[in-house]
Amino acid sequence: MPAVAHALEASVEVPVPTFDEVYTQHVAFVWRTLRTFGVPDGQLEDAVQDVFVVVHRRLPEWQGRAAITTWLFAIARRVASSHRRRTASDRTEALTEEPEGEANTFEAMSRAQAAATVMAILDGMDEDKRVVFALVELEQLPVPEVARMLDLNLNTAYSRLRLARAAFEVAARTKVTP
Amino acid sequence: MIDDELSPEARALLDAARPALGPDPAAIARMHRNIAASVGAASLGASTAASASTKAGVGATSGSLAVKLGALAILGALAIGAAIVVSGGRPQPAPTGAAHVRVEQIEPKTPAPTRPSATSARAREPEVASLVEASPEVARASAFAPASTASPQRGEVESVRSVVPPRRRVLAPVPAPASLAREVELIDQAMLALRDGDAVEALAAIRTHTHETRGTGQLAEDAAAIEIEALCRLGHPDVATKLAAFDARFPRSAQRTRLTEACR
Repeated sequence: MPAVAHALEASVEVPVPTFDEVYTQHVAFVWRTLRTFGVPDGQLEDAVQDVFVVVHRRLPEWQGRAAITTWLFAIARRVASSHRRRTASDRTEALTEEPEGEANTFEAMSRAQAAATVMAILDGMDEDKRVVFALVELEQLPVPEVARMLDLNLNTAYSRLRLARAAFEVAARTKVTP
Repeated sequence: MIDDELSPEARALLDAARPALGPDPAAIARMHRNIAASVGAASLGASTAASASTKAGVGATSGSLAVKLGALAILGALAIGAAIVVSGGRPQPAPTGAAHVRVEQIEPKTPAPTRPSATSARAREPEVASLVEASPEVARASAFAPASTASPQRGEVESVRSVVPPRRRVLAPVPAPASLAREVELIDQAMLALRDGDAVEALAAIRTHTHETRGTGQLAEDAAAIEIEALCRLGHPDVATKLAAFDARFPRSAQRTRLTEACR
């Protein structure tokens, strides 16, 4: 079990984070992971809540057997799978709420446009490549860690990343270049 | 290891997008409130206090932990706060070397179906051949939790939905949540058995899954993949046939590569 070995290699005593610490530091990661796995925007908040209710229950058992992001990723992946199925079989009204906060500022609009472009590109990728790409390029996790998270051979992870990067480059040029 | 890095333009696009790909502050606060309402607001801040420390490769935390560490307070809160509702209701194995906080379900919303335990499945000691024969191909997709990590507890994901207040009005009742919860339980059971090297036990869980879902479960792809992996470990002659059927039914499965490696 690579993750276990990885954890044991660095046998440093560290405290288990509190729920609030985990939530504060990783809620965006969980959100983006759920999105990467295809959870519709209108269900993201519900899905994030699902993830963190599980986290709340299981955090005392975490024990650092794997990186906290790896553990959260596993939970988010399962929750995303469940939500996608529910979406397919149980249509709900589309989210119509406007995002709160600084959505009316130019800066926020630019970020939103960039985010929409990136999401459109990612949506066009196969899930296996999209997930590797998102974890490496958006979450900036090291490829070996991503390979462990996805239970992939390291070369496979690199191969998917290479293909995803190439696809992203092509799509970005198409979408961004006038 | 990779030469073909992203161009500066592509990286700039990602950098610009990254902040907007996460939740906005209002959503973060709103979700936190909802989670607190679901699990009991008083316990949110220090839900891990009982596990004061651990060995970890990653995940060092802030110094504010000292303020929040209060095992007695948490245990007391849990004892008093009987309204804390989390799925499961089944005993959780206590982690070795650390105190353990268990939150139990007090009011299951949906009656759980009669379910054979892993122990009873093991007691049956089914023959591998009969397990294979009893497993018709199944449909639809899903993904594994990484084998090297602690996956969500069986049944948690679906049952969590029953305790989290939805952000928006629900138009229709969630269809058969217990069914998916049961599927998750069986798939987790099979995966755990596989990780423990017990392929026969894994096949027994998959057979139960196939039987209870009549081959049309939502986690059918997981079940089929686990079955094949278990058969590979047993060196069963039906592996090639099963793989061909899997390819035909799940031609774009993200699990295919893993199966190829597992059966190599």
